[in-house]
Amino acid sequence: MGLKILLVDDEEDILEVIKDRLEAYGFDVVTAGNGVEALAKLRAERFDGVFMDVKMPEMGGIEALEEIRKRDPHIPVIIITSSSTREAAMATIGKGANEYVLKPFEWADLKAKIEKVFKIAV
Amino acid sequence: MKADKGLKKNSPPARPKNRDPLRSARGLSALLAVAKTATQSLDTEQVLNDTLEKSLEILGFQAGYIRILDPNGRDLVVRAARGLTSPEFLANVVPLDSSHQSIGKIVHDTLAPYISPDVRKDPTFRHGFMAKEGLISAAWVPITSKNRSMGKSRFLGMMMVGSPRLHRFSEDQIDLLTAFGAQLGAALDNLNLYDEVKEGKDYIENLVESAGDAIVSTDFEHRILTWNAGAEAVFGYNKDEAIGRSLAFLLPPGAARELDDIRRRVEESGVMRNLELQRRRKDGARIEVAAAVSPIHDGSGRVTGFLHLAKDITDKKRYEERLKQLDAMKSEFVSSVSHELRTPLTAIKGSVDNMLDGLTGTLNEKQVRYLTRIKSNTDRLSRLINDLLDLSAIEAGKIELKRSRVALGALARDVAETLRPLAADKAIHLDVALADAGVTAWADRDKVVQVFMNLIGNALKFTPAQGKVTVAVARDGDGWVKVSIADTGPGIAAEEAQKIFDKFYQVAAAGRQKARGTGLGLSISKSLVEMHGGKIWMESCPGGGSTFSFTLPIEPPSSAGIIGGGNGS
Repeated sequence: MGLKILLVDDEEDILEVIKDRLEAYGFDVVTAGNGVEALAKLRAERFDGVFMDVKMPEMGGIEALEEIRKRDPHIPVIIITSSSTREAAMATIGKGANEYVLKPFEWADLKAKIEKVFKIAV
Repeated sequence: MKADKGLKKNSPPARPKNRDPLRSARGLSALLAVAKTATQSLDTEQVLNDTLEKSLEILGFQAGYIRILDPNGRDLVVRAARGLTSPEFLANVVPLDSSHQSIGKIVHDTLAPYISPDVRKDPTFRHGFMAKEGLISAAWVPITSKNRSMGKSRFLGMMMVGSPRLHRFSEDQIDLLTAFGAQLGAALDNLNLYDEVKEGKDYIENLVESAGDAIVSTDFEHRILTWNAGAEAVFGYNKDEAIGRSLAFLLPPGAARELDDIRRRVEESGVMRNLELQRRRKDGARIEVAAAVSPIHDGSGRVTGFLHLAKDITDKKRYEERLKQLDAMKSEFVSSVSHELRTPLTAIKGSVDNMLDGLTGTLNEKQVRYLTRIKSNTDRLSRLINDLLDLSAIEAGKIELKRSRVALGALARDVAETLRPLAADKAIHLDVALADAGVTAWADRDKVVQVFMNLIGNALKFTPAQGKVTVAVARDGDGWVKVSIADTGPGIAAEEAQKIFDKFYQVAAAGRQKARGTGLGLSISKSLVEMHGGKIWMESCPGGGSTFSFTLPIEPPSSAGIIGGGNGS
C-alpha cells in the first residue's frame, strides 16, 4: 500500500512498538517526539495520516491536532491516548480526530480503526 | 345540716335582724383584701394563708385549715392551717375515693358550704378529731374553679374555720366564707395558669438560651431586643454590649442595605430561610453565617420586629472549599496515575504482542509460553486499570449518559457475536432469545454495551465447557425492558447474592483461579444500570446456574409529562 504515516509519541518504547506493527501492516512510518516536531515534519513532507499521543512535552496532541486541522481538514488523524477515561479519549473526536484508541490497546482494535478511517484492509 | 344559699338569697325580706353592719363592712373589706392578694400574688402558699387568716379574723376564730386537691385528683392535702395541733389534721391526707363518709367527700360532692353548729352531735364527726382539737362549731366551704367542666364547677379543695365555743353562723358569715372559697378558686386558677405559662416560658427561654446557634430578636428598626448565649458565642458580643444596638453593627462594610432588604422581603413573603450572610465578629474576624429571619407580629398581625437565627458556617465553608480543592487534586492525581500506568503497560503489551505475532523473528516453545504468561497478566492489569478508572469516574459523578433509543435486541446480538469466539473456546452454546425483537431502551449505547459485556463475559467465564448461556430481551411491564442472562454455571449461594455487586467482591470457590477478574465488573454494571434508573439483580441456586437481570426505561422519563402538558394547553 505504501501509505505514509506520521507517528507521534514522546515515549521511544511505544514509538518502536507501534512503528514495527504499522510497518508489518505495510505503512511507511516516520516518527516525531512531540507536537512541535510533528507540525515541522508535516510542513516539510506530505503524509497520508497521523497517529498521535495526547500528553506530550512542548506541544500536546490536542493543540497539535488543532494546528493540523487549520492547515488540513481532511488528513486522517487517529489519537492514541492514555487518558483516564474512555469519555476523555472519545472527546478527542469532537476536537477533530477521526478515531481514537485508549492505551493499552489490542492490535485488533487499532487495526479495525485504521481500516475504518483509511477505508483499506490491512 | 346544709346551708341552702339559693333559697335564702331568693327571700331578702326574711333576712335575720341580727345582721351586723359593722361586720358586713369588715367582711367586704376583708373580701377585697383577699381578692387583691389573690390576684396580685403569684405565690400559692401566701394566698392560702392570707385567706385563712382573714376568714378567722372576721369570725373571731382561732382554728382553721385549707385542704387542696392533690394534682392526682384523689387526695385532699392540708396546705394551710391555724390553731390546730393534732397530727391527724396536719399530716392527714383525706382520700376522696375511700368508702368512708367524710366531710371532704361531702363538700366535694355537694360543692356547697357545710355548717356544723355542734360537731359533738353531728354523726359526720364520729371519729372525734374535731373534739380532740377542742372545736365545737365549724363551717366548711368549697374552693371551686371557675373553669367549669361538663357544666359544673370543678372542686379544688375546701376551707374549714372552727370555734371552741358554740357558735351560730349568720347568713352573712356563710356568704362571706363562700365568697372567700370562690375567690380562692379563682386565685388558684390563675396560679395554675401562671405556673403552666411560666413553666412553658421558662422551658422556651432555657431552650433559646442554651441553643448553640444565635437567636436574636429585634424591633422593626433592627434594634436588638434579646440576645442569647449562642449569639454571644457566634458574634463575640455579650448581652449588655448587644441589646439596644442596631443589628447593623454586625454587618461587614458595604452590606449596609442588607437588613432593609431582608426586612422588605420578610414583610412581603414571611420567613426567609437558608440565607448565607457575611458578618463581622467583635474581634473583627469575618464569618459566614447560615441564617433564617422570621417576622414577629403584634396582636393585630402587624410586623413589629424580627427573629434572627444564625449559625456560624465559616468552618463548614472552609471545609467545602478545601474539599473542592482536594477533589480537583484527586482528579489530577487519577489522570496522572492513569497516564503513568497506561504508558508502561502499552509498551509491555505492544512488545509482547509483536513478539508473539512473529514480528521480531521465530520463537521457541518455551519463549512462547513465557511471553503468553506476560501477555495474560498484562491484560489483567489493563482490565483492572480500566475498571478502576471507570469506577472512579462514576463515583465522582463524571459520567454523563448520552441517551438515545437503543435497539436492545440488535445490541444483544452484536455483543454476543463479539463474545462468540470466547464461547466457542469452551464449546458453550450462546443463545440470544428475543421475545420482542423491536424493543428499544432510552439509554447510553456504550454503557449498555459495557453492562452486556460484563454480564455475558461473566456468564461465559463461570459456565463449564459444553454449558449454555442464554441472553433474553423482553418488555417488562409498562415502560421497562428487561434483559436476562442465564447460565448453567455452578450458581451462587443466597448469602453471597447481596455481596456480589460490591466492589472487589469475588465469589469464593476453589478452582476458580483461572476465572479471576478484577472484582469490579458487577459493581460498575450496577452503577451504570442505576444511573439509567433501572435495577439489577441476580437469582440463583447453587448447582442450578445463575440468572442476572437488569431493567432499562423504554421512554425518556419526561416525555409523558411534556405530551400531557401540551394536550392541556
